[in-house]
Amino acid sequence: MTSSDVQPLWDHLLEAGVVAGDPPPAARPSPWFVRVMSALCGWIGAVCLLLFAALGFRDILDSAAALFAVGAAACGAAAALFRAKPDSDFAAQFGLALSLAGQGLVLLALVREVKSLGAVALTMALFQSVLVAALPNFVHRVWSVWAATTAVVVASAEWQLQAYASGPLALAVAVVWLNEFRFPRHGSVLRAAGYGLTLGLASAVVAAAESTARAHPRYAWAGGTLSGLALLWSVRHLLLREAVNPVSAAGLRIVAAASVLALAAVKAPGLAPAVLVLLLGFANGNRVLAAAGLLGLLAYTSFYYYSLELTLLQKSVVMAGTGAALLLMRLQLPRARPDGEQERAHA
Amino acid sequence: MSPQRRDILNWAEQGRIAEADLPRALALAGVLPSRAEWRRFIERLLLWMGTVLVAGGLIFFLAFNWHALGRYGKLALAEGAVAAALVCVWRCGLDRPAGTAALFAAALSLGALLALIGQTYQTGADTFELFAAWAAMMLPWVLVGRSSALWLLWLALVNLAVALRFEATPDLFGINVDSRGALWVLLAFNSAALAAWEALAWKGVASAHSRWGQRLLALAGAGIATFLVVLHILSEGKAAVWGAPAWLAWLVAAYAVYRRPIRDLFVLALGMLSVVGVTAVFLVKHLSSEASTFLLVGLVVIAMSAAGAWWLKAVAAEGER
Repeated sequence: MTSSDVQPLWDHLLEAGVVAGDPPPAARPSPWFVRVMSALCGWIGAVCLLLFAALGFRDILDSAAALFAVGAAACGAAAALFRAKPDSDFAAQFGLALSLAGQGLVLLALVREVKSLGAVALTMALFQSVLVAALPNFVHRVWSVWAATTAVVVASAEWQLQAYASGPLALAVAVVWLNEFRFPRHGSVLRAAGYGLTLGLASAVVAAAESTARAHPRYAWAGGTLSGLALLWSVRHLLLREAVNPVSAAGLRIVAAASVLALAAVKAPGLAPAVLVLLLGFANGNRVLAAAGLLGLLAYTSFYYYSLELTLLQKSVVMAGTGAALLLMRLQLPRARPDGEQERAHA
Repeated sequence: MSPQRRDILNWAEQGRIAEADLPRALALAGVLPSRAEWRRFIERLLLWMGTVLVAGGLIFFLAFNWHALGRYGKLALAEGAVAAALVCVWRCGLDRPAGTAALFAAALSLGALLALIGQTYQTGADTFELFAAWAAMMLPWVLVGRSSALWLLWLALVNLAVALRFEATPDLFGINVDSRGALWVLLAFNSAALAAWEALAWKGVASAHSRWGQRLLALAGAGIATFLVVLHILSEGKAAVWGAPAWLAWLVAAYAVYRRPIRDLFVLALGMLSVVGVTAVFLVKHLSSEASTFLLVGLVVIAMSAAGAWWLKAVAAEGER
């Protein structure tokens, strides 16, 4: 990126009185797919480093304390590397691989020493939370938040509570993304947490679907219902943000559509979280998040065919009923006015 | 994330935009949706979710094979759904989103109808024939629909039909090619589809403007080419003999097209990931299985991916798409 790339945008904001002075030196973060590529390569590197440790230092594999110490030291070294060379691509990749390998060793130590899977998962969640604070790297933070969330989902599964995990997580996702612009100085930490929680929400939806298929927990509907409530809360928040009264005619139409989806989520628990992510992505101008929501919606609809908590007949009623209600609501929307007129009305 | 969004959030993080001014800055840059964009989003969301859920409900219902409803009732339901969707297309026209969504519903209902015919009359056809017939029969609608969603559905059906075809009968024009034959056919098909899509985009066909279709096809092509070369390496050239040349050809073509004429970092990043993965597999296969080998491979992977990230950032800095 050169300064000439950002100059028109800066000038536009300068005219509006939002910024002052000259644009800061160029430091545009990498596009999301470059970060995903880095993360996947970091994983390959971490597996190689783990195999090196396993083959080269067989003695440490025999001792849980040694495994934990070496793993924690590797994470500490990664933290030092991230802090010493924040702008180096090599340091970022090496630190990522080193930390992932270290986390693998810590996990191995915990599995060796602690008998309860739930306790192992919660300890890992705690460990990952420490790493979020200690390792100042965006990709690593996304990973750590995702890993911590997934560990909590695993722990909840151990205690037969996984059917409920998606509700609180959907709420957490909504809270983080709806407050994305409130703490601009900590924006990258907040966004990393948002992406990590969103990935964790996907883990929770999968875990909940698995559990209802196997165990039919008595209150399996609770997770979907809580996700639906998170969707409704987000819709209300966004209506207020856009200066639309939720009990006005326009507001009620939107709330009614969201209520249909929230109701459907009782029997199709993945619908509300996917729509929530899509909505939050669109509202914040985040195309990656919106695409993730869309992908989640398509993936869940395909997965729903194979889920066993309802018969195909019941699922067809849920889907066709929800779809018909949404189409009817679309017909109830007032006809669009010309764009210019709408913009004036908005202003 | 759009470049404007990234820049503004970056400036806000550096303290150059006050917290109170951040939403206004994002709105001024067109990052946050205007009221007109909100309206369009809500309309499209209700339309497409409603359409897909109703059509999906029909598929689920027919798959349940409810005995209380006779075969003629079920056939009438499926045929009625196709007919109703086509009436909507006729009434709305293909220039309106409702018309395109209705055509999409007709295409999905057509699949449900074909599956129902196979289920009712026990035609003895293989599963791949269902998907192949579905893809063939909906092709005219895809051509007139000029919609990315319809094209992606059609491409997915063809991919599925080819994969299932080679699983059922591993021969091509009488030659036994085993299950890897599907990979070659899919590589050729997806690469040809990608080239056609890019050509349409180049000519300014409206439905080819979004990059997501091309990126999905590039992802499929890169994945299959990488799988073939990995097979080649692991079998020491005994399987997928042409795997390495095909992979190299794919990489060179991707670089030639997506580095300058159509600059798309997504495809370049895919190529980079593929190169790193294949290098790791090659080194692990050909070096001894000692601890030092894995250290070496790990460091090579880290160095290559760091260099790749640096290169991609440099390409991105030449100007965002």
